[in-house]
Amino acid sequence: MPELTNHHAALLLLMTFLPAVTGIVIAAAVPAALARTVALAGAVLTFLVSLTFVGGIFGMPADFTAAVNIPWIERYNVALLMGLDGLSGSLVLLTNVLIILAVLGSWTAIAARQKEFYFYLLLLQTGILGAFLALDLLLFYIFWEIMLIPLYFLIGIFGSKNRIYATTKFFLYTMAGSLLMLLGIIALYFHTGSFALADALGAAATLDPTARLLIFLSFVIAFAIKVPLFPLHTWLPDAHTEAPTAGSVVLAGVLLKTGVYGLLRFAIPLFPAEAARIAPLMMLLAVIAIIYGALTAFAQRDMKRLVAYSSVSHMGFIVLGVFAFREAAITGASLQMINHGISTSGLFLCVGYLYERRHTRELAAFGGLAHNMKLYAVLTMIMILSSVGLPGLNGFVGEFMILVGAYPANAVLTIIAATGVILAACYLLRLMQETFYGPLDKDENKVLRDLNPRESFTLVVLAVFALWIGLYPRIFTEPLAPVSERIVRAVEAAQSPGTALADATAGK
Amino acid sequence: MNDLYPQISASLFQTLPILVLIVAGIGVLVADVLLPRASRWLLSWLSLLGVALAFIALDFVVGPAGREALPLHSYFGVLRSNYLVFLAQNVILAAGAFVILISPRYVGERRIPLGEYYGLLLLAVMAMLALAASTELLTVFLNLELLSITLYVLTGIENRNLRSGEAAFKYFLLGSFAAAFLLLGIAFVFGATGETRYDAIRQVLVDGTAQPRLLAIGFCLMLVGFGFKLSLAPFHMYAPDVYEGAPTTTASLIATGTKVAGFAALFHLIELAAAWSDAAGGLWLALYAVALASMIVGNVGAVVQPNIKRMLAYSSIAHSGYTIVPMVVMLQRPDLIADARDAVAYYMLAYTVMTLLAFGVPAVLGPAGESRIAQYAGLHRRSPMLAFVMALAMVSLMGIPPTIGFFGKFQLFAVAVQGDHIWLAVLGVLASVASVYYYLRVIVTMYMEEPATAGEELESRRLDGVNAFALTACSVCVFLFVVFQSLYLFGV
Amino acid sequence: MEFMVPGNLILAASIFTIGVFGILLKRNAISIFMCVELMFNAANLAFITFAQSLGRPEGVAVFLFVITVAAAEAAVGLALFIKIFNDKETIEADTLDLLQR
Repeated sequence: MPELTNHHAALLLLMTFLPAVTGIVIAAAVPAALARTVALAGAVLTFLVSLTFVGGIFGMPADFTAAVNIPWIERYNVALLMGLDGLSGSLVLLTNVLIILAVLGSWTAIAARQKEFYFYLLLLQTGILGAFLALDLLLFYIFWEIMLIPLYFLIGIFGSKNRIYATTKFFLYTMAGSLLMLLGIIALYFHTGSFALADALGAAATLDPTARLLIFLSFVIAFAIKVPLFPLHTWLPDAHTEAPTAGSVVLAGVLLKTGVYGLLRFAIPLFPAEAARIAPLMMLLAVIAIIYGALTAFAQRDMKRLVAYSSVSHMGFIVLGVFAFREAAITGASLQMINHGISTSGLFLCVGYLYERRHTRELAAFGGLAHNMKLYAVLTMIMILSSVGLPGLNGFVGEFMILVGAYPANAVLTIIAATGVILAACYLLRLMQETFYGPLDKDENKVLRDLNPRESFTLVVLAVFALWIGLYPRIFTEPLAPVSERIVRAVEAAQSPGTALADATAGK
Repeated sequence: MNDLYPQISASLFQTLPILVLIVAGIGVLVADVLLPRASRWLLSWLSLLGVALAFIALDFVVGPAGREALPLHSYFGVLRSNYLVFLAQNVILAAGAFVILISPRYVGERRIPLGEYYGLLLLAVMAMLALAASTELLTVFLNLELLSITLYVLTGIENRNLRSGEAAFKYFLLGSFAAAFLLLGIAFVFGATGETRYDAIRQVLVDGTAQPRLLAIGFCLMLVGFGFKLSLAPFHMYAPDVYEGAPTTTASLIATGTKVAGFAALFHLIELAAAWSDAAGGLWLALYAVALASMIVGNVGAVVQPNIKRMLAYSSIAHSGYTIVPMVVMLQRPDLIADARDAVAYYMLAYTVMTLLAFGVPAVLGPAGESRIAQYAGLHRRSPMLAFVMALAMVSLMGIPPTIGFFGKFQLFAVAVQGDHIWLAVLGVLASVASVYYYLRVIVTMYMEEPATAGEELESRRLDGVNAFALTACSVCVFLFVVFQSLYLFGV
Repeated sequence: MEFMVPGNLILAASIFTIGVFGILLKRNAISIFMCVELMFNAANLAFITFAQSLGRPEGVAVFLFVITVAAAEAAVGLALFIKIFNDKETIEADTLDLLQR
């Protein structure tokens, strides 16, 4: 772990807590009519603050160019230890962009209880940012749990018909996983005497093997539920289907990534040997998720549910890349996190805009929309193609890197996974075909108006990023590469202790 | 005689808070007779003054244990003062103050006789303070009985309500049943060691001259007695009925202050037992079983309760189960006693804060929120502040950071992990996951459901200033830990 | 050292057990309370026995205190029973079933 440098500490704290403070202000003091404006201002301001880190993220991605270290709970040696490197920085930027889009996307969709809505949304942002930035295990856990409550309310209050079932299921699943992780964190603490990741990294290797495996599993299960990995994924389609658009955008865009991020930042670096041991199993589950998610998506008649299952499939690719333990694959997986955040959030926004107009998401209710909603059709098509992985758009780069990287690790699984790309084309293009093509034969659809400037803005932003990453991915992969490199080196060292020793001696 | 005098005066000084409460309690009873009917409302302020004076006496006159070379024991070892006792007494006084603050309207609406209510409330708080500090067998029994008898009356004090009488009836019969077990247990421990003071018993235990079989039976019988007071499964049967039938203000005191005092007393007993090398066997198993049973019974029982107070009763059974987890650990690992003590002390504080909030809302809502959880439908619209407070209590009871409930639970399970009782920690964690379900149900009802029919919606209530103050202060305490870096506010 | 179980202790244990069974079997509140008193007094007997055999006076002191406590408890309990009787014309424990609904 590189040394923590202390630049930008105040800015980092400001960025993390600004959303929550804005949210509290909205809930306490802002009239309902102004809530969304204040929320937008808060989100934009947060984004502007995060722009100050761009230099560090892209310039020195291997280091924590912004870091905070404030002692907090002295008895347990817990510190407000947060840092931002290439990986977390990229995800932080993604989060801050998506929250702005989520606020814009809910501008008219949320009419009642607006104050509450923006309060929860911004609180959620603080939770997510904190989880990405925390470098202290207990602090990470605290932010990780803080994410739960706001999303629970977002789905439970503002969701559609079956929302309470969905939100309770989401909560119970996530809570079960994370509490076991808490025990793992505590067990690790009593071995190392500190919750700081840097301390734990050195000491974890000296634990006895059974304890190491159990603690590792407690982490992996918590993260796998969040990702979500087959067979722990069942909460996701329900949550997505019932959530309001903004909830889905944040859920798919960044929340799921906290699971993968947890693997990359905590679980694997702490326990590389154990990670290598269960890698075949994880890759198998990932491939099952890819195929299963794709096939199930194909069978859906509800647009949102279709996108939700496509999410399961896409997250399978990311897990496959992570557990291949090749530099290209992990970098690809990290990039794919951002890609998935762009394309799936975009798709959820598209579905949300249509739902706002038509109050249904049944595929059968649409058809021929390309005739009267031209702009909408174009932008949705870009999002769909990006999700499919068309060369020239972002999805292709990520999936290609993952597959290329994973092939040497496990050729058979990689080939099966590659068929998932084809399946994705099938179900996503069907979505496009049934919605936009064919005759415009339903009267309700003839009067639908095209996107207004606010709505098009949200999708155009995402489309620009999709193209940019697709055409010039280098700039986006550079911040991600150092972390993948470190992980691969750690895993290799753990697998062959002899080599590591030789390296160490040679280094001397 | 002359050399006894300084000891006794020092002891009197150390028990000043208790003496203040005795005077206040009797004072309220007398004032009830003397005051004209129209100015009886003064009684609540008078009793609040009594608690405030006791608080001042505890924190500023006597001060934390160990300060200024005060002896750690008073009355020749009958009462002890240490960090745990000091914190417990503070928490008990705060709970007493909270209950007095939310009482006036509730008591007025129910036509509860004011003098008896406030007088007995003060005496109950006094008994709790004394019980928390007791380290002598007879003193434990006497304080427990004093506490019980006042609580029986406070439970049945609502004259026109048959449920109140029924609750008191059940509480009384089962309570005295359990007291008899405690008494026989005390007799056996006395018979096995020939001593009644804990410090003397400890010496006998360390020397190994005690009668092991009598001692084991004695400790287990005492555990039954304490298990009843702390509503630990399988001695919990009375709790849901009593919590439901008793006036909500009384129920909140039974759920918090009584338990805090009982936990402090039980902790001292277990600490004593840990000095005995055989305790790690049978007694440990009994305590383990009780902890496990409480977590399971409490969480499973709460899921099916349609009544808010019964649900909270089961939830409090579960929380009692969590709280004795460190005690289970320390029976086998006497080296962890200090950590277990800190964890128990902190959890008592956390549990009291969140439970007071959870009971405070039904108490303030009165008939509109005292029975079925379904009554809370749409509460966020009718009384946003009350709904928020209740949601906060539920989130904290679930143990979600950054609330006090999380930090409390974190320490309990940390002790379990530290003492290599991983399975106990895992089971506790699974029990907490199950608990999420019924706590969420309250939040769902308040925020996500609307009353089914128009008649379903009960009148919305305005908070009066005193209630609002009590609830706000308690809500702030939920986030206490986030601001104060050190848990150990009183640092001893 | 071997501990001889005095006959009194066996008597105390028997009385206590009778009390426990009485509580479990009886339904009338007065009978139940009498059984509780039986248990208290069994414990008292144990205290006096131990005081005697160990030569410690504390046991007798406890006995005196317990009698007082039991009397106080009886006062509260009987008052409660009278209140219930006034409301319901009976003090059979089974007839009290308002709660838990």
